[in-house]
Amino acid sequence: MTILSLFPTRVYTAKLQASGWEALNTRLLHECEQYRADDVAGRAWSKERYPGGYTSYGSLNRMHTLSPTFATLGKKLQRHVLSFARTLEYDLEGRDLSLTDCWINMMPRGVTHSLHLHPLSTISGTYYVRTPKGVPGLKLEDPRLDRYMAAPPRTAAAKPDNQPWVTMPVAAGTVLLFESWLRHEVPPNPVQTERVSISFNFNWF
Amino acid sequence: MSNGPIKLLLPELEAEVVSEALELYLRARPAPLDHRYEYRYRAAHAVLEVLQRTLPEEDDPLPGRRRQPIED
Repeated sequence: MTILSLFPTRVYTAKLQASGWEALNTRLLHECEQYRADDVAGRAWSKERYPGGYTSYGSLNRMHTLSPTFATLGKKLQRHVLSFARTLEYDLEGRDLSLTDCWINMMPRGVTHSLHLHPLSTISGTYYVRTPKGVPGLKLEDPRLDRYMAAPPRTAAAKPDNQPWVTMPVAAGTVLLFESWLRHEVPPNPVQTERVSISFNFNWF
Repeated sequence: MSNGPIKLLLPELEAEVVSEALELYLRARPAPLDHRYEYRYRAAHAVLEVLQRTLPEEDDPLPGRRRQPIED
């Protein structure tokens, strides 16, 4: 008997770098807090679209062009994205996978980020800056879910490969990548300390 | 090919999620930063226009009334 696993949904996770990420995160966290304090438009956007939290998605969404610290992060992410692209066996035809969007997410207690995807992008991901114990991971949804119709539910003990949703644990200093069509969400943060991350899109030009 | 079949291929939830994501993206980034990217923007605007034309309003008592009949 042969059973193949076809059409996999791949998710990449790795430490940004072997050492020194703590110092980078300290700088990033400081800047995130400063930008939140300064970004009036972003706070207004967040009030409507990100209740209780702060995101610069609607205002400062190219942080890598504003801040040398974020630019440094962007360069470090590039290596991971290219590695992931090789795993996916993309034929890039000699064209670039470029960082086009990069924004801040700050989630105090109770804040959630509902199910969404990242349109007009190729590879998306998040770099984790502060992840206190107990913060939610990133919940990923099987992209074929809407087609299951008559499929029975999976057992509670089913392997992650067979689950309709998988929650990836997150840790500071870690980068997580996926193809931009993959729907995902962040469940409510149950802990007092803010969960801080930086999300981004890479595009194929 | 007309834009009509796009909605018919997407279940309602899929359409809502895609529509919401597209709307947010295009509102935050109203113009492409690179001209090589422009064709995707044009496509995105076209898809969003179709989705918004066919998606029911939240308080619509008859959510299917504006839909076109499906013809095989």
